[in-house]
Amino acid sequence: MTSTAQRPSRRIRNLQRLRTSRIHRRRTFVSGLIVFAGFALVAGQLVRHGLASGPSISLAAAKPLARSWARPDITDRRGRLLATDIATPSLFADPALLVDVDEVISFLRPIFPKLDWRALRDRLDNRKSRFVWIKRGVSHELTQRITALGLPGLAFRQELRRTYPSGAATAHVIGYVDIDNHGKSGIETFVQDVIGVDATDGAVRSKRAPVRLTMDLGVQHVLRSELAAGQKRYGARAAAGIIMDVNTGAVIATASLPDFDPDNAQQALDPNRLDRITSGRYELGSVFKAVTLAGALELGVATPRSRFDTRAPLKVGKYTIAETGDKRGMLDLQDIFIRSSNVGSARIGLKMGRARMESFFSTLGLTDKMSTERGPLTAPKLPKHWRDAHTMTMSYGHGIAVTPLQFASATAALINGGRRVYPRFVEIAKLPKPTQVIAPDVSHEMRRLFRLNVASRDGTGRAAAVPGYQVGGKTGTADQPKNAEYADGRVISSFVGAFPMGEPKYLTYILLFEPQAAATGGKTSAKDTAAPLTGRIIRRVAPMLGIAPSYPGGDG
Amino acid sequence: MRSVLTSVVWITTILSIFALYAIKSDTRQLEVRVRDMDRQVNRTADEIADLQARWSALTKPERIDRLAREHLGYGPLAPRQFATLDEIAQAANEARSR
Repeated sequence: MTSTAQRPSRRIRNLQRLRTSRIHRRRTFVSGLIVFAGFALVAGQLVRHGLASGPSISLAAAKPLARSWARPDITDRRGRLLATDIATPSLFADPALLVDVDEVISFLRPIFPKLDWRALRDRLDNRKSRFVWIKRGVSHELTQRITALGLPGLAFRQELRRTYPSGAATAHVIGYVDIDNHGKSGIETFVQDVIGVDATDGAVRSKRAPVRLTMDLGVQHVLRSELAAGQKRYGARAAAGIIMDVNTGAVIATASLPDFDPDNAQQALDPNRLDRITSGRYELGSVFKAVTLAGALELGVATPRSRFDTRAPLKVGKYTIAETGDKRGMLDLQDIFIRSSNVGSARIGLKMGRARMESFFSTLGLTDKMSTERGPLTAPKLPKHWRDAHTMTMSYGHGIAVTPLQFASATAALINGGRRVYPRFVEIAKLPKPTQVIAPDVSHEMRRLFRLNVASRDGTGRAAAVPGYQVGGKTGTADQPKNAEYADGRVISSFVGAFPMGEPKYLTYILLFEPQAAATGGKTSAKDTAAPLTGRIIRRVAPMLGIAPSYPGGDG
Repeated sequence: MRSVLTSVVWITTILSIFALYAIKSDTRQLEVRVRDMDRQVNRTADEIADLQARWSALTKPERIDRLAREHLGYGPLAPRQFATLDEIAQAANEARSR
């Protein structure tokens, strides 16, 4: 009985033990699973953090407060720095953190007396705002003074500021930027639109390659300083000049005085400071005779031996074109050129006719709008109704107004063998294939005339001669219209020249605006002002441009 | 046998976690160093740009021209001051023969 009674109880115990053991195992398994899951979670998090890049908190803090532009440097053709970005501190306020706005203003007003503090106070009083610029571009000395004040809510932020180490010397060409480093004129606009700039929230400089210009800073300095001296010597209201490579159109130097300080770009808006080389269009006078004569030779209207009667005056509407002194007679092309005969040019123009003249001027780019990297030039001004009278006056540079740069590029084609050139300011790797617009023998004849005008005793350009450099050129003294009338004594005296004339490399075009009779002893014409000024400039720049002087037969 | 395997897995897991933490810590330190070096490079680049701008302003032809005139009495070069090496040699020979 006992044994039978014990049997079931043992079985039950065994069953209970089995169940208990199963429960223990299950609990152990679940516990292990939970612990494993915990460790897996920790390990997973570690791996996630290990793989994650950059903390998102700092990104939030770097949210752009003010965006400006990082710009590539600009250099001259020899790599000399003309424009660069400099990291500069700019002062801003967080109005929410300002303790006392009046106190802040009382401390800062003596440091920045020119700021509009009334407007600034309104903005600082707005405590909901978290960012207000106070002064952008602060010197390091002032930065230290302001930091020493220890005012809460004021802080500095590094920004890129454009700097022009060459100052006013290259201001017209390079242009300027606004407060956000955004290009506003000149090459700076070209950099903005074509080369490319990089948006930046701080002061990270551009990694782009520098923009290399065709200009030579040394030659630019000589041109500018000689123009300034000439302007003073001849009492001129303004002076301007270009030095250009006749074969490539590369502008080596260009200046227009008065110019402006690039750090004070407001000056650039003064009409008297505009760049007369690209933005002003003028009736340039007798320098245009070079174009007329080249056209006559190219179109077969005349040969170097053709003669034209300059004895009798020519009537043009209510005006009379007449000659004085030794310009009267039966003159050939050479005489018309070196004596600068208006009647002779007018007769050539008349023989050429309107259609052929317009076509030839167009071939040289004198009638169309022209553009460079700096933007469009002022468009030429042509007569609304082109009559014979215009054909005659335009033959000697009146009745047509163009920019000096446009005229210089047309003249380059006359003497470089007849190839059209397009003025440019930025170095490029490969030049486009030039177009032949004038026959080489016509260009050769024009070189001879240019040279003769300086080398011969009768030439109007004698004063431009420089021993060793075979200078050639043409003078132009153009009366300037005022209220549709040509006023006495209001002239542009200019000289378009080139050197060395055997194989011209560089073209110069120098203009003096309204030289004063009082300063020149009454000699305001180009042969007494612009021509000698050109000689002084070539004398200095030719060696800098690597042209060795030569003295074939002790020439001048 | 199973308990040995389990122990090995546990130990490996724990060691891996420590190793991962150590690598992570090293990486953070390296990142901090890289950021510092980047900042230093940028600061130096800014200083170089600043010095280049100052140098360009100090050596601009306008200033050198003025200094050369005022302090050295120099003027612009004249074409007559240029000669080829042959011309110089010839001039030297002529001077010697005299």
